[in-house]
Amino acid sequence: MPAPEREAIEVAQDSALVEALRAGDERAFLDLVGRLHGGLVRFALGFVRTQTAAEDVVQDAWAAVLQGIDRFEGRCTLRSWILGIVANLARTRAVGDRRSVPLSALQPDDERAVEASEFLPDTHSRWAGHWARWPEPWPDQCLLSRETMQHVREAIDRLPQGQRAVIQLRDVEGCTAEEVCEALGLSEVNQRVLLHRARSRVRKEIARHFQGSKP
Amino acid sequence: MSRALPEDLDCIVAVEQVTDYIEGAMPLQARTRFEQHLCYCPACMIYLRQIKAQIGVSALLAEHKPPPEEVTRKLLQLFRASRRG
Amino acid sequence: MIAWKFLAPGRIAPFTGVQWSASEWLEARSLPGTGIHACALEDLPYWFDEELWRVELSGSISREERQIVAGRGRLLARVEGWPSAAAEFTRACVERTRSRAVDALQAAGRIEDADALREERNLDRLQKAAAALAEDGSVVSGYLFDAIRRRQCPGLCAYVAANAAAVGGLRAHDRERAAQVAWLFDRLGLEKA
Repeated sequence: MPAPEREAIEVAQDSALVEALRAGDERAFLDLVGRLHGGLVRFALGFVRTQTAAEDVVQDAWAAVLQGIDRFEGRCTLRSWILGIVANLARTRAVGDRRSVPLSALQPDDERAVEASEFLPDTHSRWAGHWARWPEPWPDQCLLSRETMQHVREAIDRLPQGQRAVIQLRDVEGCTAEEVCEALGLSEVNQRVLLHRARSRVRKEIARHFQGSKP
Repeated sequence: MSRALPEDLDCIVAVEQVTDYIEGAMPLQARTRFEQHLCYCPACMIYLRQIKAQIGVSALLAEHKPPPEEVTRKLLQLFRASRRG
Repeated sequence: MIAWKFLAPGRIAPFTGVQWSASEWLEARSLPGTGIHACALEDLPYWFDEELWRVELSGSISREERQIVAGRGRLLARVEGWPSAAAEFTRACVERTRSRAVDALQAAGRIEDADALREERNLDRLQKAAAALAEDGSVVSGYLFDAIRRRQCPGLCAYVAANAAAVGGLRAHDRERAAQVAWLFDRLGLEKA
């Protein structure tokens, strides 16, 4: 289903949930927590240094959610609103913990998806700009091994903060582009640039992993 | 560009368009050019498939663990307190 | 109107992943793209895939860059000769490219090289000879090497042949693409299909 339609459904489902929360429905709240908590902690880990700090941030976020639920207007999805709260608290906490400047601040503006050296140079008489060697296809099953998935997890966690946040929410959590823009305060274009760079870096890691494990 | 047909997409340019393509954020002409490139470039087709496979695997990383009991208890207390008064 | 469409195995649209029904109309509105895409004859060499189908289009129809976009379409019949004719198709691309390489070598005064290339019957030796000539500065021989190397892939091989022709200018390029279309038309009997 296309993203805008999915989002419309989620927003509609949200309003029933928000009503239930406002009315003090404990089951609705526990259900929401059960659904989101793990993902929120993992998301927060992209900003703060330790698991403990991430869990603290998320608990504070739930408190803020409960304080703010009566004022929630439903113009974005509930999830994106909660993610935005987590992001803000996590960033504040990271600054407080004197975490080093996020690498994203140091990234060059023109990061390439694939290194230029993978392509034939301008001097090539026939195929300048084409792949120098075709990428090796990844066998379908290989990606699903626990080892590979762990590599993907680690590759995502090693990304610069902004890239990690976007790919974590889009590709791991399945948020829509709109939700991510809302949660992280990004324009659609910026969100896409970060997603592009994040995916490219992760792909490079996976390719390196498969190459490394060749006999 | 290929030397002889400079208006065609290079691979080095095509790989930068992959995200826009998957997002559906390209106008028809650009999308057509990209798809045409894939039709004569198995290498870029492999690349696109890798990105799509990677996205698929990423989704499997989503954490569905509920919080530990102690956390749930704390949050429930919070909830009850917030609904009072 | 009647048109043509390449699909991945199982009647799968190669880019949207949508499966076409064997006979029912497919509406553009239900698809993520802007419309049903199909080929006029002259578009065929740009869109190769496993299955080639004759299709019927209706609704709003527009001619876009190298494709037709329509409001609705349905499959009429599978073109039986494809992809079994793919190897012959690429072989024909190789042969036309060989002629171009021979002509280019002759024009450059490399008569012996041209003759050797024209006479070589064995494909592997032809590929090696073309590679050597490419090293030696013959760009069109380089394309011949590429065309032989990539003869398993019709889309790429056709593209290589088109590039080889384009060394001689845009009209030569267009003639090569027209030759590819004519080959498919004749060999697959597209007018009867």
